[in-house]
Amino acid sequence: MGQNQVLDARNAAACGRILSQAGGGRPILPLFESLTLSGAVELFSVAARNGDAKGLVKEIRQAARVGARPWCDLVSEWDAPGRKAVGNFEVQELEFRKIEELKSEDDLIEESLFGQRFLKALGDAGFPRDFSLGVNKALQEMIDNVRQHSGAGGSPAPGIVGYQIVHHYFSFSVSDLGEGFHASLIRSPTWAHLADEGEALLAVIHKHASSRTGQGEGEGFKGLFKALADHGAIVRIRSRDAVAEVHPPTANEGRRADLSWIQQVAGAHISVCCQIGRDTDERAHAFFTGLDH
Amino acid sequence: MTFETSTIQPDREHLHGATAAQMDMAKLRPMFSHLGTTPTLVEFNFSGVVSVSNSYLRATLVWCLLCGKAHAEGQTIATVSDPWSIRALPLYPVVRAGSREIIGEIDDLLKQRGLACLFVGEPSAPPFQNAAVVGQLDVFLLDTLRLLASNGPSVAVQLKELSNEKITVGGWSNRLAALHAHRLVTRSRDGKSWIYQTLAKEHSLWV
Repeated sequence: MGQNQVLDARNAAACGRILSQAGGGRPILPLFESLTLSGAVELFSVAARNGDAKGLVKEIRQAARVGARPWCDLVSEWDAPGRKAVGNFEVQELEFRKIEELKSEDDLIEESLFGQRFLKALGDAGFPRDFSLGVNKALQEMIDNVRQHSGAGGSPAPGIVGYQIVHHYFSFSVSDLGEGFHASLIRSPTWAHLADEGEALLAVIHKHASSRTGQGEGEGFKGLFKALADHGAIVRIRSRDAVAEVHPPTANEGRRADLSWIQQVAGAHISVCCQIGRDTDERAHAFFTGLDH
Repeated sequence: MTFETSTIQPDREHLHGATAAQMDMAKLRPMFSHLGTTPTLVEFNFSGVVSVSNSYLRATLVWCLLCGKAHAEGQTIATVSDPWSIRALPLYPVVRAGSREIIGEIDDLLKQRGLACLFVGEPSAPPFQNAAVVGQLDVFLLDTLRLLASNGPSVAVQLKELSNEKITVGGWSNRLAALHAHRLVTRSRDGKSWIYQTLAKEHSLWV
């Protein structure tokens, strides 16, 4: 990667290459002019599993001293044993949270509070109430998908969620280090024929494929598309080496998904961004700018 | 008919995701092993709920409906390790409370899946004074439901004699069996016949 690059979800494979540079002590963040939320989530997801990411972690901590507090809290989350509540953000419309199992009423309450903060921030940013409820619902469903479907042995894989909301614009990303859509779906006899991650993504997007046998269509992604993709939002879904960008239906054709392939990356990542008033442009709202320190 | 009753009443405003749903339903799990044929009313009270996702409904209300359907149809389902897979259980799920928006979400989802359930008022146990049918129920089944409610516990041949419709006893039996699979009526054996009974005295379609 060179200067003036924007790191976002489409550069997922780049994260792996970036981390291979971290071990040599070369600063990483200054390679990029700016960083979108989805790029941040992707980078951190990959870094979480990479033992050579210590250099990146140190770099982020140093950046945190100049005010990027959410990075500092995020690093604390990964470092501390067990789960630590994430809060006290100076920038209320930016939050990250580790996705873990729900084991108690307290966990449900904390989860609910996270959703309420997101909902309030959407309202403050000018999004209509009904639309915001739909967006929150979609986000919570994607988070729960990590718990329900990411792990091979019943326990969920590590995951992370982040959102960024500014006036009339929001983005959220949900990423995990799990087995991917293909491995999950082919457990069901209905989807055992799927050949690869690309076919798995298309089955989810067009046929609402679910790994649950005998319980009909999956509901989580259906809700995501209904609330977001069909209303002009940018929706990208990555599962391991396949990336699908979902376009809303038009008068002439139904919902379209453009499939592309990248270098193998563990897990899955759903990224969404939406703007009121004009065509959504993810790069216009990169939040971590001026990284040339 | 006597029912066991279990109430699911989450105290959160937003009900999303299968994981939270399964936690809310956890109280039912100990019952699975000893339910046998004892009909169990599962009441869902959504008062105070602002939004509910289809995944949550699928893992709660729809799960109960499908398990009840499996029981009604005498399905033998292989034992699996997943406690939330569909299994034959004598469950009768009803919705006790919820805003118009929430009942509307339930109605949409059930219609998509060809399912139906009752939205009930007083009293606290069957027979309910009145109930609204939420979801998908064709006009013939709704008429059969209302005829059965007005006549009280009946066998198929009794409904044939009461009605002007020219269908066979077998046809009435099929309709009653369909209502039972929808968990809108109960049934008990009387010799070679089934006696069917509604859960409510009056029925309307939820609009």
